Amino acid sequence: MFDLEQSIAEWRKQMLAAGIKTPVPLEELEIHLREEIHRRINSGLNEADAFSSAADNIGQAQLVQNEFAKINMWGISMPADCKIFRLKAEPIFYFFFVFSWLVAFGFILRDEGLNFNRLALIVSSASGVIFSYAFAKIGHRAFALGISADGIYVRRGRGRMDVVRWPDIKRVRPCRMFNLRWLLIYTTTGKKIWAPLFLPKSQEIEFWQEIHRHTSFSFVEAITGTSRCLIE
Amino acid sequence: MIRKELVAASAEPLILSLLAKGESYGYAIIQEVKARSDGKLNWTDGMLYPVLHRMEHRGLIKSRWAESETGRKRKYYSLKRDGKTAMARHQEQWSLVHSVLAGLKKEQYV
Repeated sequence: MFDLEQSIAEWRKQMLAAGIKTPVPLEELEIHLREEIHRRINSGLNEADAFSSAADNIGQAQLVQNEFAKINMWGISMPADCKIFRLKAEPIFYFFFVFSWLVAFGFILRDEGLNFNRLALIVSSASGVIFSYAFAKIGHRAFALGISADGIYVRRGRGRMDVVRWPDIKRVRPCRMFNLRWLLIYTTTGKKIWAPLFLPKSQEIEFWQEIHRHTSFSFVEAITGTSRCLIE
Repeated sequence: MIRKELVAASAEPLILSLLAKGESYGYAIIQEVKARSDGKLNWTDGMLYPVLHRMEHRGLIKSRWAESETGRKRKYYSLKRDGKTAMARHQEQWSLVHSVLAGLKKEQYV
């Protein structure tokens, strides 16, 4: 005897085994499955056939999960054909080290005045080196930029990776802030997206050449205004 | 049946255009697309949700959980301001492709 609830529970197990997360999106998929089963039963199918055809229509658990996996807590994954540009670790290290050292020195001066304990300064500097090194290692990989046929892959919105599609980009230009190079992307919806662009020199040239490859002439003209030397 | 690549490319503009009429949920979106295309635009149901989630992640649409009139829990999606802009751009681009194709087709019969 076919048990619809038992079959749905089995289907849920398969989805969970494939890695589909609960409650969302598994809950959403189950609601969809139930609505489709209900519609098929109303159109004359028995429960077993209605379940099996509705489950087939949802698709294979692994294929659905593969699509969801592209959107995770870190954002969407860069596709295989994406050209990845990793940041130089050194500027990130110096940025965090100077920042942490100034904060630590500020606290020491506040608490101990000018007759501060030199050991405290050495210890806080050493810990600043360790943390800055860790941040530099993470930043080097995590804040990489990607260029593919879809658009530019960049971290935005709570640090998640997202793709800014070529048709959505009005212009891009490099700029300088805190003595570091940044990429500024202007979208057609009027938003500005900032991304670190401290790439090795050869990589930066390659980066602009990639942008050049994917964009129209008028768009490239906007870029050349500020980075003519890099493109030429 | 319409080719897989075209089905994938048309998913976002179709979802945006459907949501422009008012909020809706995954199952209803699929049913409406099937009905409007006489069943020729056939999405794999499960593949709609990653597309919806990605569009939500990109800030084109937003969602809320609510109970339907029948007491069923559903996740309703609606358009955000960026979604409206994206929809207008999609419609402009698809109209352009359509007008080029229509013009070429017309020339074949002249």
